[in-house]
Amino acid sequence: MREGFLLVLIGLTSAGAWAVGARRLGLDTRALGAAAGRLLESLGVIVIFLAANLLVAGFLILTARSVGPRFVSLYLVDDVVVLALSVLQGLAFQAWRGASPLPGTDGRT
Amino acid sequence: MIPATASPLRSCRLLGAAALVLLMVSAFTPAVNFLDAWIAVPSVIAPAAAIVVLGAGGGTLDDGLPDALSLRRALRGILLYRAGLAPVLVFSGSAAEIEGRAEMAQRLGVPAAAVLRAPGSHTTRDEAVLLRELLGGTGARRILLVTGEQHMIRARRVFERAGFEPLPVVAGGSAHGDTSPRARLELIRDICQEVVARLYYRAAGYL
Repeated sequence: MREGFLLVLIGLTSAGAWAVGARRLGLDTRALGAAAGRLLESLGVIVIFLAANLLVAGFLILTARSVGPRFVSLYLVDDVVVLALSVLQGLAFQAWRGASPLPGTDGRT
Repeated sequence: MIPATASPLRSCRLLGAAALVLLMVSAFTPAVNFLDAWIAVPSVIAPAAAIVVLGAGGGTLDDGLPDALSLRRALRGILLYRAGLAPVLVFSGSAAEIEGRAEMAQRLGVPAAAVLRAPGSHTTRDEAVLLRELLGGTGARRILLVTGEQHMIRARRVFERAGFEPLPVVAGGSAHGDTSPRARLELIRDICQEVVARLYYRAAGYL
């Protein structure tokens, strides 16, 4: 029930965004495929940032445990803020890439 | 066909697609609930020499009571004691967490003499070592081990290696019966976290 409601909700607002984009803003609906690819790229970059943050945090905490006088818990990194900031990192990186096209990509990503 | 690794962009797309599929399957299908039910350790309630309630990485809240996860484990231990399953109730964890639990146990009818405290441990392995020292002299080997659902598999093995015969009693953790998307995502997070912890314990030689 709840899952269905949430999916319908997201579907409705997505349809609304499509209508506004296509009819009001004049966006090309044929570009939706490329946009989906860009979305998946951004998700992939976010996953990489999240993994990097967790790995570096684990390394730093285990190092601090072995050399420092006080115990540092690995649960220090168990915070939803890490995910939120990884999302921001990923989006910022993608925006940077968009502003400076990579060589060989012909300006398109 | 270009291999996926030929282009960083393609690799990112594949990774993103995998993450999206994992998110949707985890949140909107019962796959995670089935996985959790499959790996869950069933509780074994039987008489033992001691009831050991592991710490939950928390302390006490402003009202002096343990936080939710710690509270559930402590309550489970108290109920086991009140059912007469062991003569001793041992609380492990941080000093503040233990004091909050011990005070609650006494208010709920557990005699002060029956409550043992094992403060100063930070990890599951520390807890096992400390409790071996605390209970070793009493000859207590068979214990009712109270901890969260996902934590139980690792905790049970660590306590076995410390020379105990732990009977698992699950308390707290993510309920695998909760089918809301948020609960499922919390469940998959807890499972992943415990998998990483188990890999670390294996690498460190604790398991």
